Amino acid sequence: MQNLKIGWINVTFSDLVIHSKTSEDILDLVELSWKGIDQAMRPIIGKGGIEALFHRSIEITAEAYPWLTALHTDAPLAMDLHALRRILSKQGTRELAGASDILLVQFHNLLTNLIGLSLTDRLLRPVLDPLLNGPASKDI
Amino acid sequence: MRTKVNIARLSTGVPGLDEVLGGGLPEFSFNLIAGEPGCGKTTLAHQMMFSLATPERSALFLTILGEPPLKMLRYQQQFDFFDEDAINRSIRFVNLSEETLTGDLELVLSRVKEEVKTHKPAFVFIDSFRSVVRVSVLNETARSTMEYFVQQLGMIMTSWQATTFLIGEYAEPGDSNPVFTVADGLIWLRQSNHLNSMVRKIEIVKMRGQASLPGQHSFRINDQGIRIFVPVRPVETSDEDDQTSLLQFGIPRLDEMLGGGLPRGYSLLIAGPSGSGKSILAGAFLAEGARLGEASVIAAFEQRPTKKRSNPVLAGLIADGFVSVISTGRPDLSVDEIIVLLVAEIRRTKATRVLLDSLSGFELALAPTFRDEFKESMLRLVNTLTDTGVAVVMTCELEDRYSDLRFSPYGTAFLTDAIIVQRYIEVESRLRRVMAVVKVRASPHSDELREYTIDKNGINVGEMLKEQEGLLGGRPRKICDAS
Repeated sequence: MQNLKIGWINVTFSDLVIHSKTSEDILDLVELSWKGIDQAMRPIIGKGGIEALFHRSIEITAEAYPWLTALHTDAPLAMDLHALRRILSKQGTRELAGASDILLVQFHNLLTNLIGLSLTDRLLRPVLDPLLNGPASKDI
Repeated sequence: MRTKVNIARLSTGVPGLDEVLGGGLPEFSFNLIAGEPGCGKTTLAHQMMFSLATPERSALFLTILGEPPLKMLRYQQQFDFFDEDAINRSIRFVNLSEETLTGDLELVLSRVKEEVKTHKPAFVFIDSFRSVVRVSVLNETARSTMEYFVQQLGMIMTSWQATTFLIGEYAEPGDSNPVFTVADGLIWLRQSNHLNSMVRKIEIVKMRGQASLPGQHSFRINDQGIRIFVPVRPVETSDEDDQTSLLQFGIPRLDEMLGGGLPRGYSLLIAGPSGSGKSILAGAFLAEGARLGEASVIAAFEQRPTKKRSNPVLAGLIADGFVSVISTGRPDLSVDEIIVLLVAEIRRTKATRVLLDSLSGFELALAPTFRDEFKESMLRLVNTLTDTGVAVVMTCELEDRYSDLRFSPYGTAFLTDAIIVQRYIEVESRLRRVMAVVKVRASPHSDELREYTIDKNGINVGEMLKEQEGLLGGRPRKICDAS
């Protein structure tokens, strides 16, 4: 069974909604998170590797959030974070936060299935910790 | 005054590789790890990298094309040497597939330079280098460009004082590939498949500045990674010790027949037909060692020595820790591996006695590719073991042929120092057993043919059957009948 939560993330995007963060705040954090993941992973697994994982994560997340499939039309191969933001921004705050949480979890799950939990966390935590467990979460 | 540059030799962390390389890996060398797909190139590179890299002297692993990095990380972390704490601390992976796909070698070179400049690694690995070549060929880049690329790469790495490894798929080292010319070291991995066994071998085709061990050396990949089986160097033993120390069977009449026992450093072949008690006799030799507090090592290729029903004495000795057993059940066993395992165990336990049970089982246990050179392998095995100072006992099943006196179907009798032969004879409608000491090199021994029996206590050597003659013909006659 797939995990629906990343154990070491203290504050999810949905938590930010509860704490009255705006859609723009959440979108900023979502975009920053994915930029960080891209920067951490692209040198190691290559452009093709990160894009493939990203699109597969979108596909799985789209089972619960079908409107995400529009990303395949807008940016069929690339990891286009502007396109992701554009699509997310069309949704309500709660919906976009929920989808962003699941997208991140699915990416984490995929990577974990491939290279193991500890190596996945070793690569992703330095990027996501400061964003999701750092100042942003302390504001709440 | 002229002073030579002192080339530091790095310990690779791959068991056996430093010895094969001739004392370690020369620092700042530019090496190619080559071989066909699946022969263990990336595993070898990773094992060295995880051993060599430290936060102060880091490693850069550049992945080009070929095995996707995700899969590489997935599979390589199965090995014990893979230390994920080292990732992004002392080891950095960088993917250059995009640059490589352009076919522009200058672009690849500049990215390599950039990464080396940024991370200042002491070790650089490029996997797979062959893919750089393929892409450049598709783009019809001239061979001279390739030569230029390799030379530049070699120069950059040397000037950055980085020990470098190119990993590539090449069939054989024969052609005049510029990489082969530029490289200081050529490490070639091979694998051969025969029936259900696969044997892996490594060869140092070239290693500038030092004398590597010639020839192909078998290696195995298991959870720990690669282990190379290097020919064991004999330890100098005192001839005096060898001559004076006799090892007994604890069977009084047999020890007398041998001239007091089997000298240390001697090999003994016990030959006889099925059920004649070869393993029981060999077991008695180990039991006597145990009684005197001496350890023994057994490589059993036929019966499982731990099985109580087949040889309770031996099973007891193993259970009590007097005899250690070498595992021989793999389909891709090489003679070198057996030698390495046996010698390591002899040294660990300070054993004085070794049993190989049996030669026919040993031949079958070897990977088919080694069977053609069985006699040479046996000679190497016996010499290496006896050089360590132990007494080696081998059993060999011999079909009873009453028309000739043979001791081994392999023609290996010449390489043993001593031979005991066991035979069945028919006397008064009973199958009885006799044995003789055929040879003990440079030692007086008995020429008697003695009857022996086997009971729950083991082997009892009895009297000569003086009233019988023609025993070796299988159907002896009473001497009085003949006259």
